[in-house]
Amino acid sequence: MNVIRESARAWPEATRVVLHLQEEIAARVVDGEPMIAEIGQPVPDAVATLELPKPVLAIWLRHVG
Amino acid sequence: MREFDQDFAALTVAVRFVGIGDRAKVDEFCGRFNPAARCIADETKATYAAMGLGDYDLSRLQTDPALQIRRKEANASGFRLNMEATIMDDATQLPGAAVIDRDGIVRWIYRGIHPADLPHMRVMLDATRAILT
Repeated sequence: MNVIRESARAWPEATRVVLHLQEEIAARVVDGEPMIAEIGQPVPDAVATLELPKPVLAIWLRHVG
Repeated sequence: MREFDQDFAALTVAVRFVGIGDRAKVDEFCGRFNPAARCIADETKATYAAMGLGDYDLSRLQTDPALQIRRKEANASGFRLNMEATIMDDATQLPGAAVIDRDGIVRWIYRGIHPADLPHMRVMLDATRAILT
């Protein structure tokens, strides 16, 4: 019974976390900002901070030795 | 790259290289091959993540057929991996490229599947020309 009671107490918290995540994801979609670059979409914010000239071919190198 | 400078200039398309590290590190590395002004530093790799460029499974370094072929090509051209300069955290980072139009819209993306997986500049020039003209 203790296990059941503990589980019951835990569920509301888990539900709250899931709902919060859903809101976070929905907010990003509403803002129209893709988390990862997609063809046909504006560059993500992180890439916009690079202030690339446009139009541009941008090449992300594997690493810098 | 320099052999294609005029082609990209004729298209009025800029070319920029993003590297991992601070400004000085990227300038030093990139400046060996191109004017440093074309190089942009990304110390946190945030833009790599934003472009969807993943990490390579290093356990495949010696067994990945595509990587083996590319390594032979690079060795034949006189290039060698500088292990002393390779930071393991960076070594897993996969490369990539993108064409971004004048409105800031992503028009083409190439995401590498192994550490040496970038198209030849000729291929990227052709892709750029086909997309933007």
